[in-house]
This record gives sequence, C-alpha cells and structure tokens, in this order.
Amino acid sequence: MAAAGVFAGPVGRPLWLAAVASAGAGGAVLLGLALMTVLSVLGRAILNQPLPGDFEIMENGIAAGVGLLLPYAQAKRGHVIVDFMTNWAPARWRRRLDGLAALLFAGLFALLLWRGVAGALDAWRGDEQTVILAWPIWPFFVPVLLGLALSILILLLQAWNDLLQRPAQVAA
Amino acid sequence: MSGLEVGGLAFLAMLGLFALRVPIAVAMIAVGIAGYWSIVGWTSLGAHLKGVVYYRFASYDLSVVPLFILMGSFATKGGLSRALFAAFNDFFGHRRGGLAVAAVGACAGFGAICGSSLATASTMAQVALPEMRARGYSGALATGTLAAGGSLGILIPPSVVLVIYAIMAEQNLIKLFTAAFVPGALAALGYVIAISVYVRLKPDSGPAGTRVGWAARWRGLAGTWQAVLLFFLVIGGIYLGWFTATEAASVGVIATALLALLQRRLAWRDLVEVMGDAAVSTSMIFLILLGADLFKSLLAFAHVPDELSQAILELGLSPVLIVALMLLIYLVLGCIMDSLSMILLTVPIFLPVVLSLDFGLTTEQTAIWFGILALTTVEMGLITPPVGLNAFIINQAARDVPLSETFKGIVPFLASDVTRVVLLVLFPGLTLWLVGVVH
Repeated sequence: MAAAGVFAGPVGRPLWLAAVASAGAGGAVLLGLALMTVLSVLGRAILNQPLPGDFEIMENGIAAGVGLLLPYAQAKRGHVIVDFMTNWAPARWRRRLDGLAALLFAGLFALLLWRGVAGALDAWRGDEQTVILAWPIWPFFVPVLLGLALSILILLLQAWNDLLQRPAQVAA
Repeated sequence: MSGLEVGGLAFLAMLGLFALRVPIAVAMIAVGIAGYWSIVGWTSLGAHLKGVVYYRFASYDLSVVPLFILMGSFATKGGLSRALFAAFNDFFGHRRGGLAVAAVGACAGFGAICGSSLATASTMAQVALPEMRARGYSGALATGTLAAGGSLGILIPPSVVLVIYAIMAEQNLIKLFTAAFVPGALAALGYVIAISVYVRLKPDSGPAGTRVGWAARWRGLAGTWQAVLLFFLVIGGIYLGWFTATEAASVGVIATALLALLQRRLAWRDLVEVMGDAAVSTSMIFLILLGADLFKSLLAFAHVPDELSQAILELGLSPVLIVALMLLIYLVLGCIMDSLSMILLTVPIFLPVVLSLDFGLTTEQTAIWFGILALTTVEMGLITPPVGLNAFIINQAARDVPLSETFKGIVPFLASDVTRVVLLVLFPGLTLWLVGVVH
C-alpha cells in the first residue's frame, strides 16, 4: 500500500507507515486472541481443561487490539459522515469544514488521551489486576493510548492539509 | 431546563454537527462531553473520562464484533460467495429473473456466515453483477437486487447490529439470533416474490438462461461445502452448546482464514487488504460505541428516558401505534444515519417505553421482538435514498448504471420490506415462535 497525497511528504510518510504498522499489530493481536480462544475450546473439549483466564485475556486484549486499529481508520478517513447536506457546496468549502471537523476530533482525542494517561497511572498505582491470572491492567492501556496519540497526529496533518487546501488527501 | 429540553437541545446540536460534516461518532462524543460537563461539572467529567475509552473497549461481549468482522472479511476472500451463487444459479437460472433469485439466495447463504450488510453487498456485487449484466439484466433489477440482498447479511444471524442491541438491551444474544431466523427467511422469500413480480411486469429486465441438468446441480451444491461447513461450525456450534458467541466467532475467524490459506486464495496482499478493511470497520463501530456511551450518560443525567416515556404514556396511544411511530422515526433517521448509530442512540430511550407497554408478552419476549423490529427497520435505511450505503456500494461496482436507476430497482424490494415489517408488528409470533421452540 503506497502512501499518496497528504501522506507523501517527510511528515506524512512516517505517520502513514506508523499507522499501517499499528494496524498490523492490532490485527495480529485480534488473530492471536482468536487463536488463543480456539486453543482454549480445544483444550476444554479434548483435555477437559480450558486455558485459565481466557475470558479476561480476551476482554483486555480486545481493547488493546482495537486501540491499535484507530490510526489506520483515521488515515483512511473511515468514519461515517453525513455528506448529502453539503454536497451542493463548493469543494473548497467542504474541505474547510472537513479540516475544522478534524481539528475538533483531534481536540476531543487529546482530551481522552490526557484523561486516559491519568487512568492508566491510577491503574498502575492502584495495582489493578485481572481476577484469575492477576496480570496488571495498566500495560493493556498502553496500546490504546498509543493509538489515540498517533490518531491525533494524523488528524492534525489532515486538518492542516485541508485548511490550506493542499492537493490530494487520500491514501491509496 | 427540563430533561426533555436538554435532550432536544443535545439532539439538535448533534444534527447541526452532522450537517457540518463532523463524523457521526465525533459529533456524539463532542455533544456527550459538552453536555456532561455542563450538567455535572468538570471534576466528575474528568474522573469519568479516565477510563471511558479503555473500559468501553475492554468488553468480552463486544469482542464478538471485531471477530465476526474479521471472519466476514476472510470469507469474502475464500470464494464462498461464488460457489453459493453458482449453486443457486444451477437451480433457478433457467427461469425469468432466475439469476436475481440466485443472487438473493447466495446473499442469504453468505449472510449466514457474515454479520455485515456492506461486506455481503460488496462481495456479491463482485460475483453476481457481471453475470447478470452479461445475461442482459436491466441495470435497475441487477443493482436493486444486490443492494436489497446485501441487507440479508445483517438480518440473518450472525449479525453485528444484534450483538450491539443485545448488549444495550441486556438480552441473551443467542435468543436474539434465534429470533432473527424466521424474519430473515421471510426477507429472502419477500425478495424472491418481489423479483418474480418485477420480471412479470417488465419481462425484458431479467431474461431466462439455459436449464442445467441434475448431475451438474448436485455438483454445484457440493461446491458450497465451505459455506455449509462454516455455518454448522459457527452457528451450529453455538446452538449445540459447544461455544459461547465469542468462541464461535474465534473459531470462525481461524476456520475461514485456514480455508482461504489452504486453497491458496490468500496471498500476502489479500491478508493486508482483509486486515485493512476489518481495521476500518472495527474502528468505526467502536468509536460510534464510545460516542453513544457518552451521549447516553448525558441523556441519563438529564433524565431524558424517564421523562420521555412518561410523556409518551400520558398521550394514551395504543401500544402498537407507539411501536409503529418509533419504527417510523427509524425510517426517517435512516435517511441520514447508519443503522448502528440509530440503534445506539434510540434504544436507551425507546426500549424503556416499549417495555412499559402491555403487548401480552413477557418482558424478555417484548425486548427480543422489539430488537428484531428495530433491526429490520433500520436496515431499510441501507437501501433508501439519500444515504443508502448498500445502494452506493453496488452502484459503484456498476459504473454504467445511474444511481437513480438503482433506486428505481430498489422500489419493489422496499415494498416487500414494508410488508414484512407490518407483518412482524402485527404477529409477534413470527419472531418469537422459534425462540420458544429452541430455548
């Protein structure tokens, strides 16, 4: 998958590669969780012994996996918008609106990232653990926070690009 | 301000942001946070936001969603849709409109292993559209059939929207899946009837093909073994009590990936594509969930659901009329929003009202019945203008057909959808009968 337009420059290219790598890692986490669950099911069927804690690994792992997918979806601008009300407007106006929406999005994600870091620190200081395996919870926060941080950078680049009306914005 | 005023203002603000091209999920997050802030203040909001992303995402029940998406994504690469279409074509292709009937059958079959309408529509478009066009089918019938047929992906279990509804309504997912089977089959049957009426009125729109012998038919049927195997493994496994829904979805992901790998249909490029598609759909859904969560807290703080249900009950309307009005609201909202956002935004408000009405059903039966009604109605939004996502996807695949033709071709299917919803409202037994038998 080649990067184009907004992701072609010296700032954009590393961000695009990071988003692809992050999505790859997220996908690997999801596949890994599926594989773990299949093994647990097989263990239960054959040896009468499921993997201990499979439930809580899935529960916390899924958050980590999905968090890592967020930047790629943003790079692809995958989130649904209601566009038929603005289809009549000139393309320059629509891009200006898209740029402002990306800024709002970045601001909200920044708020969630800041509070999320505080939440992770709470979980670390409070020594929060999973019930069965007694794994600490805070490391599972990290991929989610990384996903938010990378999404913010991508949103800022997209906003900058849209507001300055620079050409071609879609990653191929 | 009363709760209803706060709720109304929040909805207006959200619609305003939609109009300014803010993504739906982001508009919900923004209004949810702003409303929360103004009602309970920063200290409480700041504490709430600490865990809101993580603990919303970290949910065993929700893990079904990305897993079913991945499974559907792999299934689109495995050649299952082609085999299903070929098999149905052997049986129906020699009749007028037979290819369209085959496409509906294949959509239903694919829907039984894929939980998303868009994935079903786009896969079936790749397989069935070229053949229908080559056979001389009109653009309207070919694209209309596929857009409507795609919605079977979500009507027939597994269904991502039902997973979300089950979580919101705190209902048993498996029972909801059971309840969806008869309405899903009715949908497919209704579409077949729509096609046969259509080709009777416009005989040139769907010319008949040549008859295929029985030997070839059995061979074609045998070719669908992958789809049949997956269905029995995943859905069958759930009902035989082998797996929970999450386990079934995990088994489905690994099985579809293995099947595609073994047949060498999964090159490295495809894997990247599968992952990319799944990443976008999953992120989109989880962000909408996050937004709906924040928006729901705002509504709850402002006591909107209580006050609204009070106000509706005071109107003294008959229960069936109230449900009908809610479904009408879904139809209108469906013109601007996607199905998942609609379910997430309205269920916290509508369901308490519905549960407080007397339909002569138990609470659980009412919740299941309303879930199926809501699912059926929101899915009509996928094929109605101006934002019929299925119609867009199919139309993009058929570049020579104008969008207006596609929407014209959808009309008979929409008529069949409306008829089905009316039947489901009037006869709750259609939805609940199988639940009573199985559970």
